[in-house]
Amino acid sequence: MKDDELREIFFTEAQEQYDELNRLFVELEQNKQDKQIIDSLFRLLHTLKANAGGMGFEQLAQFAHILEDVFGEIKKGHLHINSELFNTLFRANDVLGAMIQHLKDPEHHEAPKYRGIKTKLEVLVRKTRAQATPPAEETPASDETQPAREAAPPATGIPSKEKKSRRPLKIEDEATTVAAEEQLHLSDSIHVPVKKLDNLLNLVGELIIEKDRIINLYEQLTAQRKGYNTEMTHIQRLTNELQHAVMSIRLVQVGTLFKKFHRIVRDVANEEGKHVRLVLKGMENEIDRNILQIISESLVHLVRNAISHGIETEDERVKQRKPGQGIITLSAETVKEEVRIQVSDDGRGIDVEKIKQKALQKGLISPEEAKRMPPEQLIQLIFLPGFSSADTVTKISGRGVGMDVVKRAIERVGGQIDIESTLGKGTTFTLILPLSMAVKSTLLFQLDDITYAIPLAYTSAVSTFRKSDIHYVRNGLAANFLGKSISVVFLKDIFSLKSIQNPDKQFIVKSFEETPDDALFPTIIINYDQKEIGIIVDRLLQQKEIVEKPLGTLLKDAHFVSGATILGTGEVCLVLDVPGIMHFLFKQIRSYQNSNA
Amino acid sequence: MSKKVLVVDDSLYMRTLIKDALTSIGYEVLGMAANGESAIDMAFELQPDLITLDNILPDMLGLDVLKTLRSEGLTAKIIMISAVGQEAVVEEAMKNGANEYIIKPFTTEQLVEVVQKVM
Repeated sequence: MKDDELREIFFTEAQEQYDELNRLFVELEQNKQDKQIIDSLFRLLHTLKANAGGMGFEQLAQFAHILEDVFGEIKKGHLHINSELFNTLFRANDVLGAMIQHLKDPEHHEAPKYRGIKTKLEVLVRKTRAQATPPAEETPASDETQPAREAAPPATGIPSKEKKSRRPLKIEDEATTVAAEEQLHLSDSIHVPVKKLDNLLNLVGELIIEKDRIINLYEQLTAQRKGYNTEMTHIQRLTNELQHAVMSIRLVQVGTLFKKFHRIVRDVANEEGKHVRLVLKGMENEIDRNILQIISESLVHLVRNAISHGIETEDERVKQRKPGQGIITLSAETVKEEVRIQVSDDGRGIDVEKIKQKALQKGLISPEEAKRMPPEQLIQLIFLPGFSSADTVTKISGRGVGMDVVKRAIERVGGQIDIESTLGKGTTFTLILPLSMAVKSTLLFQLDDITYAIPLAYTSAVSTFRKSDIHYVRNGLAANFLGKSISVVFLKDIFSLKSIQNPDKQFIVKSFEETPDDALFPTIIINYDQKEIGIIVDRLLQQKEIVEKPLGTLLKDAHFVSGATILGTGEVCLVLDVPGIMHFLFKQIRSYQNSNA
Repeated sequence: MSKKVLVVDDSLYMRTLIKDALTSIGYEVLGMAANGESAIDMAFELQPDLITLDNILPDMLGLDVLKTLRSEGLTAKIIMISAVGQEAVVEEAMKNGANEYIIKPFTTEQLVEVVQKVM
């Protein structure tokens, strides 16, 4: 195995071990006498030490070693965990984590200060050993000389004499077992670096595009025949299965991320002086690893917010006849091709009236808008840029990350975020995420003979309006759709704008005025942020699964387009950036209203 | 360039006294640590030319600090500070890489004298 692969495996495992250490530490804080937790900590540290030693990471190995020694003393009952020792151990664990991060990525993670706390632990172990060594009994052998103990199953209730007499026997046992079995067992699963999977998925994407082209060519060549012949059907099916197989390899359980929150919740709750319990649900649901990585920061932010703004202090809760301990729930469920992740708290809920006042104060909405907006739209205002620069900055939440950043991160993976809140009862954020980023379900349509794709995640319906269905309203055009009046806009008008910063005020009605009275308007109804808008195009084509590719750095500033794909015909097809278009439109609508007001 | 110092003592009074004494002879006190753990971390972070190190610290002995500093290759001059009646500590410290020692209680003049001897 190549060195860098071994390295990746080491770090993957080290990260898992560190997460597990964190979880165990949190548990240990609640049950300081729990032998099983102490045993598990001891074992984990031992493994980490050995692995780090194997990689030549001496500092990390030594640091894990001293921590292992401390837990060895705790195991033996020579050292008692009081809160002071616990805090030292907790800090030491942080240092351990920081060391792993630094070794993995020294450019972005500074080397932690470790020598002080390491010496402190060394002194502690030495003192404990000096005090605890009884004159005659066991020699104070270091744990290094007793690996057998660790390998043995947790022997309970066996008197020590018997245990001693059994030890040589046990070793013999093992020797014969190894001799009898010629085959050595390797683990049933393998670690694969994500980069390799990214590459594999990329190749499958290319393959799908080529497959579409071949089938397209075939159809042209055999235009007289209907449908595919068997070979084509096979290729179609195989590529589909291959694509799904590769996508499924990239799926990880959301639990891998959720588990990290035990520690985060504990730290934030301590910092804020609140009493909070974390409940995890649906940990077994699976999602693409990269999506999980990208949204992880948002999730941390939502959880921090829930604790510092959502959950009340214990006194306040008791006064409101709520249990003193607040509950944060992280849950996941899979609905068709989507994964829904929810962050809920049972705290004070969001006061829509306050949101309104704040938005008015910051000039994010006009007084007219404020009057007109229903509560479910008002609450969405927290996602506007510039809204969540908190008035009170606490150590935890005052980090300058607004909810708009959270929203953008989620939209980047093709997801959406929703919020529901009941005053006095709590708040729930729902993240609706695609299972996989690689393949998107889209609707193809044409505008000026060019084919575009729009992600189905944002479309709620398609419809065809007659010119007479559409009427002027004071800030543009509207049509009745299923009994509701919705804004409609010609995509052509957006695309032909000369300036996005200062668009021509009349742009929104331009195409409408130029069309004949009997014209029909194929329209895609977009649903975004609880608002519906109809986008008028030239022609609707079919639904299609596409592999979206980024536009590349040269075009990174392009507006209204998020990426591109290649169609079966060989044509390049741009993918609409729905959030981008919607943000632009809302901004225009707002500025009209404000200038008319 | 003025010499840079790290002062390690758990008593604010002693830290202040030592700081004043050393500042008065043109030294720059970069940092002051009140326990062994931060003493060690600060020593590596600040890389001072001189460390005054009290032996009795809340979390460990000055001797422990000394051993770690020397075993990790720190070359700063180290003056061990010990109380009367702790001569064994002084001996142990000198064996483990301390450059000088001073016995508490001491006067500013005595401290300055010891410092100038090692620097």
